[in-house]
Amino acid sequence: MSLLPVVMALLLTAACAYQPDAASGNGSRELTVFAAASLFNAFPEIADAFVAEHPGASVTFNFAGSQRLRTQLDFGARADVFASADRRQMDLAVEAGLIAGNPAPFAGNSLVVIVPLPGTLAGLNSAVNIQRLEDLASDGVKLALALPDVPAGRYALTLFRNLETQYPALGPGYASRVMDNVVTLEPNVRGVLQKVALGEVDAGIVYRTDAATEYAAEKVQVVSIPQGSNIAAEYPIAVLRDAANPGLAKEFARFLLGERAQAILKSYGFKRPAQIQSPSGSNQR
Amino acid sequence: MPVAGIFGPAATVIYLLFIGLPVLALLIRAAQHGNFLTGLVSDLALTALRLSLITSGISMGIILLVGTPFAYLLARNTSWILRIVDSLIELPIVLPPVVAGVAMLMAFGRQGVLGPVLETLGISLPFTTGAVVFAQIFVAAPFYIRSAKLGFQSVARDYEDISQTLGISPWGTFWRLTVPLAAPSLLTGFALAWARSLSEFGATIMFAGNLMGKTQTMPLAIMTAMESSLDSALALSVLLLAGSVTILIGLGLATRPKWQNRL
Repeated sequence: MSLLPVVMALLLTAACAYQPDAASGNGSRELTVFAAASLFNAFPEIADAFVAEHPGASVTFNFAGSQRLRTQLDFGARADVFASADRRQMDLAVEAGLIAGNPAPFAGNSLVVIVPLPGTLAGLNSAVNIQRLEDLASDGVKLALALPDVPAGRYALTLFRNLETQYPALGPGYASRVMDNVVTLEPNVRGVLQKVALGEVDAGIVYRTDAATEYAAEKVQVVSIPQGSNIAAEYPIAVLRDAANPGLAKEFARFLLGERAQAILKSYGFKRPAQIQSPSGSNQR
Repeated sequence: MPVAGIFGPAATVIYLLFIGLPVLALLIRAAQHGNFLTGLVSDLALTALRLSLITSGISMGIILLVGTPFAYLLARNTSWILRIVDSLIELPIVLPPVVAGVAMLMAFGRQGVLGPVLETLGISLPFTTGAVVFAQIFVAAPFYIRSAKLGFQSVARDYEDISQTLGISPWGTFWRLTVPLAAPSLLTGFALAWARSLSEFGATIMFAGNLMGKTQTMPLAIMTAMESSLDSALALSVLLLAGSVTILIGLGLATRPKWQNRL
């Protein structure tokens, strides 16, 4: 009998079984967290605090646009916790039967316009200097947004419609004129930040928290949006049905709603959600 | 135990299953989804298809125009400089495409090394259809140049000398003797480069961005569709698969030995 198929099968099995950071049994204290790209800076610090309170536990992250995370989960990716940047992607995950219990909002956010910072290299020869929201619709402005399926992209579309209806001075067809200036639709909000920080586009729409990161502070300037027109992004968290470590996952979700994690989120500019509720199955939303 | 007797067929079956199953699964799933045709004629798919054909067409034109004389020079000239150049030709093939994208931003971006020069000329490349073409040429050209060079090398210099002593101009010799003799290699290189430019993703999303109708080629449209509508993603994938198979078949037909014998 040929050894080749046996060796092949063994190698393939080994390759599939090789999961350095995934759960390796019941006693494991390893947690895989799928988190929206905008949580890239805040979540590792929260994980550190969580691990400090749960000795032996470790947390691995997968950061991406929430729509991509949801799709990955849909196609069989294994994770313990899903933190989405909008309710839509979480609702789709619930509909797909991916979620155990009810998702709970844990943070809020809003949008800002960012432009390359004048004075740094990025700002020097930015073709158009956008100081006001009107200018987003001017001819020749290059704008970066997230894809419309990405929460940040979807929120941005709502924002432009809000501005158009609330500020007639912006001119007729403001939202569609702004959309005509879009030169790239990025797969996550950090892609937008990166293109603005590089100075390759004139402006982008990101979360307030993205613009407040250390990286962004050196490279971009914020153009604020009137409070009444801005959107209120709501971040829900949920434990996944296929969680390898449901107990620890539930503890992480609960930890996120606690004072320690909320203080960290606040330090990164996130808002407290309207009401904090338990992520476990008993509560109704 | 003869290697070819048992290991050969076993390895063949395993390998064919490994490659064949995903391809087959793509077709099965696409057929199962009732909206396959809708996905195929969707705005996203048609726009991406048109853009992919136009940009890869332009890219291939430029690659042929510049790559052919370059490959001929590499095949005929053996100076040490050209030998160093020759060994660097394949760099874009081994370079991760996303690195190529970053490199192109650093060179041709608004803040790039050539940015100020381009800006004075009123040219802004990133996030334009031109940037898509740049990215495609960067990653695809080596496939054509490498193959064309080997093709030209296979044409003995004596033939060209004889042709010219018979009074045929160097230009005429090149077109009527060298190119026909090197045709199989030129076609292979053309097909490989074309397939590579159609499938280009990493450098494109970095340097050209992702905008429907302007920079969203088929691979980018598939990525975009995967996150909203599986129907469109499947339809586009099957379309690219069909294109790849067509290129392969065409290549097989064009380069079969009969072609050479006819000359």
